[in-house]
Amino acid sequence: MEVQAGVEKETVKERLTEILALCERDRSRLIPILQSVQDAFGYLPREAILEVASYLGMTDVQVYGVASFYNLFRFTPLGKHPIQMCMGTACHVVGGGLVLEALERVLDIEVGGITEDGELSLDRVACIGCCGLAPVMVIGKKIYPKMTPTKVDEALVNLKIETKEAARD
Amino acid sequence: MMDLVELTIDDTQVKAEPGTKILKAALDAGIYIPNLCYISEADLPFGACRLCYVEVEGRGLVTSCTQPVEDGMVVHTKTPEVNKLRRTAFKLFIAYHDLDCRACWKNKRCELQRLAARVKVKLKTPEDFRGLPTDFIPLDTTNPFITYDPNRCILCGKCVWVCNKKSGQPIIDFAYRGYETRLALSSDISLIKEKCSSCGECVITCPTAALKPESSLGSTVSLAGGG
Repeated sequence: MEVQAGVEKETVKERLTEILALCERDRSRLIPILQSVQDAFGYLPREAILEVASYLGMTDVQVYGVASFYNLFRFTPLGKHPIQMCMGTACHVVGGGLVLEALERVLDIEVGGITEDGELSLDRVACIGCCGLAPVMVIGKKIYPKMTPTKVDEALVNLKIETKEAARD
Repeated sequence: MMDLVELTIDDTQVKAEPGTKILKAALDAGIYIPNLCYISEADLPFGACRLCYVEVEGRGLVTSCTQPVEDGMVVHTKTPEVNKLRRTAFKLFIAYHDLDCRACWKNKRCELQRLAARVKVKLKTPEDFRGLPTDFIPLDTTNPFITYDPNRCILCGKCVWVCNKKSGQPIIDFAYRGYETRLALSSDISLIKEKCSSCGECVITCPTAALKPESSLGSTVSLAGGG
């Protein structure tokens, strides 16, 4: 998978050497290692999986098999403004799915994807913990309560303006 | 040689070495117990197919591929409870299996078809599982010699075992989970062109039509044809 917004290959290698130097060379440490890799890059780059596999003496599919099993790991980078759409019970019941569909349509990406400019990534999450505000969308650290499909455009335009203003200041 | 353990399987006296699993003891004695994921040479049973259920008196229902034989054990392989469990397990296999058998290249050579007749389940989506997602998952054609069809894979793990044995390390393995579980061959991450020798062992061992040899490779085709 080619990801433009991802981290450069060389940087991955350099940072990985640092990370792996601190890790025990033991297969049972695979998940903690993957966690620290994800902490460093925000996702698991392809190169990192290959590197971790050879470090632990495993095949890349084995590492991929473990990593893909857990929801915790992602294989595409996060956008600058990660969008999380809550799909917990409460949000689901009041139409969170429609909002998610609207997001997919407007951004022209699927869940788990990232826009071409690397600005926005879209994920579905389980409960955020404010079911009274359902359906809830979170962009970065900002919460968007009582979302509807029509509010999606508005929220994204406002976000763009805010980002521009922040850049000017 | 250690003393042999004596047990009864379906009214037949069977002798087996201690530590042998019931399934192996039965098969060696000519008593057939349905199984799909069992590999006799494997050290550890994979225990995924759940077809080899038997009833052991005083112990209830156990998978015979994981249960070692014991002296004086009385095993039944065809009780109504066993058949019921076996049928449920089988239905789970075909719950989201591509059941267009007539269009399938492995029609009439398929282990799944053979077992369907044996456990007496019709090869159509069982009623209890009609609500399951049946979206067609695209084939994995990244290996020029082997095509992987997730819609026909039953996740028995035989190919992974064979690959592991042949190459020392599995070049194919499971990825994702739940309904999405499938083999990660190459399109996902692996550099199969560099590591896979396309020996075709996985194709031969596959009980269904999930792994298909592509005609572009002579040796794989002849291997698979013989298997």
